[in-house]
Amino acid sequence: MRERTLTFGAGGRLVGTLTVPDDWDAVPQRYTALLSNSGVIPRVGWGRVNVRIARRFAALGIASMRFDMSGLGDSAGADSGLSAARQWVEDTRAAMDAATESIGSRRFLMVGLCSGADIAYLTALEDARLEAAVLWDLCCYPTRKARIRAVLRRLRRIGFSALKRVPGAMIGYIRRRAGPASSGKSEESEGFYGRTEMPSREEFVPLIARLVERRVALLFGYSGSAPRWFNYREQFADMFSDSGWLDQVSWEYLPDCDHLHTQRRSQQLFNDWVEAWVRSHVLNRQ
Amino acid sequence: MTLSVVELGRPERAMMGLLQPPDSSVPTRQAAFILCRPLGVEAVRTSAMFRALSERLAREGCATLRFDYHGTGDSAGDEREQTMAAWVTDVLAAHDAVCRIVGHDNIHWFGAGLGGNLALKAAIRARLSPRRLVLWEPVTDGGELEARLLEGHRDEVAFGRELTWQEVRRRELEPEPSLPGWVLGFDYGQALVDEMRQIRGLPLSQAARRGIAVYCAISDAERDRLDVPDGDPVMQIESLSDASNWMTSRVTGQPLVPPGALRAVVSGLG
Repeated sequence: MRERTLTFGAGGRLVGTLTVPDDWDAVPQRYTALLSNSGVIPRVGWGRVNVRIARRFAALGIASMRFDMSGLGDSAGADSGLSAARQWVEDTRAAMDAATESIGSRRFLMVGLCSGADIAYLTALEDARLEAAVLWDLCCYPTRKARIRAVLRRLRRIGFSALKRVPGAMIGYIRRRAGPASSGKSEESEGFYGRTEMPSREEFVPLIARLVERRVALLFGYSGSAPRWFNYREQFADMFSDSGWLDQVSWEYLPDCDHLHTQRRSQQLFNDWVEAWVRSHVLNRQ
Repeated sequence: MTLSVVELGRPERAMMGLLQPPDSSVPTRQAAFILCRPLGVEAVRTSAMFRALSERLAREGCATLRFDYHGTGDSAGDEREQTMAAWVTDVLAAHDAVCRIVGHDNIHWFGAGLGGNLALKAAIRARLSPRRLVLWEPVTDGGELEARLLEGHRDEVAFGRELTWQEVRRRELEPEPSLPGWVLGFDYGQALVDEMRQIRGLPLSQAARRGIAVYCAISDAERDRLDVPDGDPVMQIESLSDASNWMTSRVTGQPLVPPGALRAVVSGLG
């Protein structure tokens, strides 16, 4: 394995690090993984999670490019006038260009953590080179069962003496539900891991359908860090039961993983899970 | 302002560095900076601060090197095998590289958190001293650092489960953190922990005796731990009423770069 940091993109203002397996030229599939920022965390990842994934991928014959998007980590801000999400999709495409130029990469997968997952699926919608994506703590639309479980969990935490406050809370809930229609955005989804913008479920489902139609391999994963939003294994199936693509994507609830992988065990579980899926769903693709 | 990647250190202690050249639209100064990062989660949280400092210094006409010590960040190596003593040699290697690149020895160093301690130790040892040291909240008590790391870990893990740490422990969801060990995403080895525990005060006077100008920003509570000669003209101590907290993933409303830090690095340019 060899690692090399490089600058790329317009004016060389983006910074990324390539990790290349020793036998890269002999690898038949030659996938390159894209690893990037999660929120404002630089490209190495919280607890160097991206560094560890990159080195593990190298042992599988997968090269990787971990890079900072505009204005994050070591990369300079952009003056393109584009929105942040739009700019970061362009940056991701530039990272693919740079990997192609440097090591001849042609096929890509992306491991997107939190906001990186948003950029991964948005990039895949635009760029056919991105054939697979791991989407960690992406959009979440709590089901009725999830809400009930969240309430019960809260009651267990604060004690059942708090039950006397329930009637007031219920009245508030009913008033909110009966209030003016929202803009179509999911009320619950606002603020999921600090997201200020997220598509409604009705907007999200057809976007994923387009990726499935194009045979982009997708792995959705949810951590145990937001039990108010996602709190049981089958929630993903319940959220998207009528999507038409449920049986064509992979998903998992990993309650022992924390969102950032602060714990060593969380990183190990996550990396094992990603590796198993990449072996079974990516490396055997035609 | 095109960045260039600099490979630093001996092959067995390779490091990744980024050199930010002076902005081409301003006159170039005969001065360069080396920025020494703190460690682990603090390096993650201060990455934007280091980029912003580099860009600001570029607009002042200075070249700036920021880099990852061996075994950290983007550099090769395993963090568990690292020591402060070895990282001090990394700082010295970075200094030699910058002197070669810029062709002069008017080099200033900035170190934040434990990076400040490494910079100070390296400055005392350097064959060719840095012109000035800017130390931003260096560690003055290794025991306190250890306690803050453990508390930061508990807080982050509990936050990640939407529980209190007491609940996490009562339900036996996660083990109590300890050093040496994995804390806040960083794998601290025994040798590193032993060195950290030995930190008591800051030997600023040793740097002053070498003629190095020192600026040190530190909390009010820690000020009496500094070894500062009275009336030393090359020593400037700044008291901070609020300490930075770089041990949490939450954005806490702190500015990207403490305003005083920008002032401190620029003011020393004369």
